[in-house]
Amino acid sequence: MDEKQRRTVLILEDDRPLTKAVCDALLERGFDSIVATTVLDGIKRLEDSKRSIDVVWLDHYLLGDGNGIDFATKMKSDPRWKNIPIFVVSNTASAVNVRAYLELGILNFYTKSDHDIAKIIGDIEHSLAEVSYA
Amino acid sequence: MEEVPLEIGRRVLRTGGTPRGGQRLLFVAPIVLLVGSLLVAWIEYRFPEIVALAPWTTWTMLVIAVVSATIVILMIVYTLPSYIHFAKEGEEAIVATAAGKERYVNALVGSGLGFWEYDVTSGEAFYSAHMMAMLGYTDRNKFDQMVFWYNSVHPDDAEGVKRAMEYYLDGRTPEYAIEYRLRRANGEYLWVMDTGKATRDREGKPIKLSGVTEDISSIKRVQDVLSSRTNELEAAQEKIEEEVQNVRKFQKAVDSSTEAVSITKPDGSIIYVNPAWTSLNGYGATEAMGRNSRMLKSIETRPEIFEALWEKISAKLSYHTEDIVNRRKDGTTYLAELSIYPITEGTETLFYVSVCQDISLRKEIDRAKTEFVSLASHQLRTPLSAIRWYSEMLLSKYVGELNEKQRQYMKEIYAGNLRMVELVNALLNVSRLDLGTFAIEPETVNLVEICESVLSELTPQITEKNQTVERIFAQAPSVYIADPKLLRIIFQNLLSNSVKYTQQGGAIAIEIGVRQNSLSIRVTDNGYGIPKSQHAKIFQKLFRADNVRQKDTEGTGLGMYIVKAIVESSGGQISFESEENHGTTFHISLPRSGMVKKEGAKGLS
Repeated sequence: MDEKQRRTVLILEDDRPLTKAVCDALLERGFDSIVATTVLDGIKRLEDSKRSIDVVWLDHYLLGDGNGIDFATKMKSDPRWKNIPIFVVSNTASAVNVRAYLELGILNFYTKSDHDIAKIIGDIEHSLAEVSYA
Repeated sequence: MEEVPLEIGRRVLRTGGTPRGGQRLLFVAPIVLLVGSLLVAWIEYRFPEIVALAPWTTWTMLVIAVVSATIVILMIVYTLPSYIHFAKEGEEAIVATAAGKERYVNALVGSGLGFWEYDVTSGEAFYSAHMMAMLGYTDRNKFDQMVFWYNSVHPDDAEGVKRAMEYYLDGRTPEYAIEYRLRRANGEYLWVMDTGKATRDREGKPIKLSGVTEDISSIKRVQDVLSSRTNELEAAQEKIEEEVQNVRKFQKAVDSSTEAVSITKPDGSIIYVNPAWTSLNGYGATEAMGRNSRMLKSIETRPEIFEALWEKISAKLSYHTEDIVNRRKDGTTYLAELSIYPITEGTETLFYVSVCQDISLRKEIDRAKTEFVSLASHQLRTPLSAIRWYSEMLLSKYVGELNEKQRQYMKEIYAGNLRMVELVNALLNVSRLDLGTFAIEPETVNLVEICESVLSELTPQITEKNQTVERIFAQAPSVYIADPKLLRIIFQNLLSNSVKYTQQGGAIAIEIGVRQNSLSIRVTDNGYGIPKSQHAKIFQKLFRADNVRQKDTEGTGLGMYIVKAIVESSGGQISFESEENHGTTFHISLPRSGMVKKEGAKGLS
């Protein structure tokens, strides 16, 4: 895949083995990954202008203060990031939280253990393709 | 005391005696007359010349005759008065005896007694007219044999009667009196009592036995009634004593029960509380007496609980709830498990017995356990995700080609993990249902579409097992108000069970329709069925029937529990018919109006 076309995914995930799996799988499918484990860390990565973030892979529970909703809220309230698609991939989000995420305008919500990683990445690719064609 | 006339007669005859001189008169008077006559004849013979002396002879003869006559007359005069007296007394005796006899006869007739007399030696018998009438024969005296009487004695009594008579006649018993049954002319039996007395000869040997027979049927009847009443009373007394014992036992049991027991009148006023009740609610027993049990009512109890309670107990049915909150005297509250049992007599309710206990702690523990299961299940999802994703990546050749065996093993790991994910999801659903934290979010749905999507997911298995699926959707409502996720869980469990537990080439039918103003979903198969002995357990958590456990190791044993909980919390009902090796039909009915929205933290997945 052409280097220019490589997309970057910001992964916010607190579990190390899962993070590694996601990174590897994304890499395999032509994505670069940046990993953060806290809300603060995640914001820093977004602000880091060296790489533009194309997609956010967001877990609900994160290390440190705040959770996925806080992070999504911050992103959606900042004009720089509000159009970056967010995919929430979590095992813990309740119906109330899912609704909150959807109201914030995230693209999709996945229960980790219920979905193959290939399916989620496929959806991400699909959504990015739609954006670029649009 | 007045002397009995017969006795008067006897005494008179005894004391009267034969008049003295009477016999002498009869004997001596002819002799005197004969001696006189012979003397005259002898004088004429000895002294023939005397005849010649006629005047003298005549005088002599005359003198002799006069002397003889005088002697006789004197004797008669001397004897006659005593005879007259004797005759008079005899007459008196006869009159007295007759009067006595008349009195006895009158007494006998008036008393209604039958009189009889047996000649013990000849066996001849006399039965009075009254006796015959008593036995239903012609009202006339009868001379017959003893056998006539003996043959009429009831067979069961014959031996006793015979013995009583023998003993009396032998002198072994001082009197003859016996009660027995005697057959009347019409074949009916009459209870009678015989009393009699024997006439004996000088040696004491019985000659006659005479006596009376009394009809004691009515007395017997009264006796029978009295005796049965006595028996009844005795039984009643025993019963009362037993009841008193029972009351003591039950009182002790209730007093020492650890559950709070109270008894109220139909208006709710308290008439009894046990010690557990007083310590639970903080009111003393005397303090509680007469007060209305409403004093325990707390506003924390949902009003529909009281509505349901009154509806049940007004219909004289018992009521059980675990959702009532009671308020103690000090104002604190507790969650109570309450059972109310109406005590009725006929159509009237006499009392309500309430049994209650504080289940706050139990509920807390239940909740903690369920929350633990929920939390643990959740925690399991992260490592399960790791296994899923890494095995998926190994299988997808990201990191190079696996050999055939490795690939096969990896597939097993992946499949095993999927089963684990399914189990964890089911456990989470169960804990959400148990905790009541699940949400129902109704929207307009197309039932057939949801069902078809579940069927299409199952198509690989259906095709593999070469099963047929009949769809009966003609009566299906075009729209329905329900939570699509919950409906999906219902269809998914019912249909996947049918596919899993039906043999190769089997038939499955799914029907959606409206019956009796309810939405009806019916899934039928001709599969393995559920053993009869396990029907009662089919909706229990983690239960799997023996016959399918052998055939299919997969399955969580939670599906039907979840389906039932969803159906019931949506106001519906679930039932089934099943026969082992013949198949199963599950029938679900849901309110035609649809599901009602329920707020909750978690949806079911």
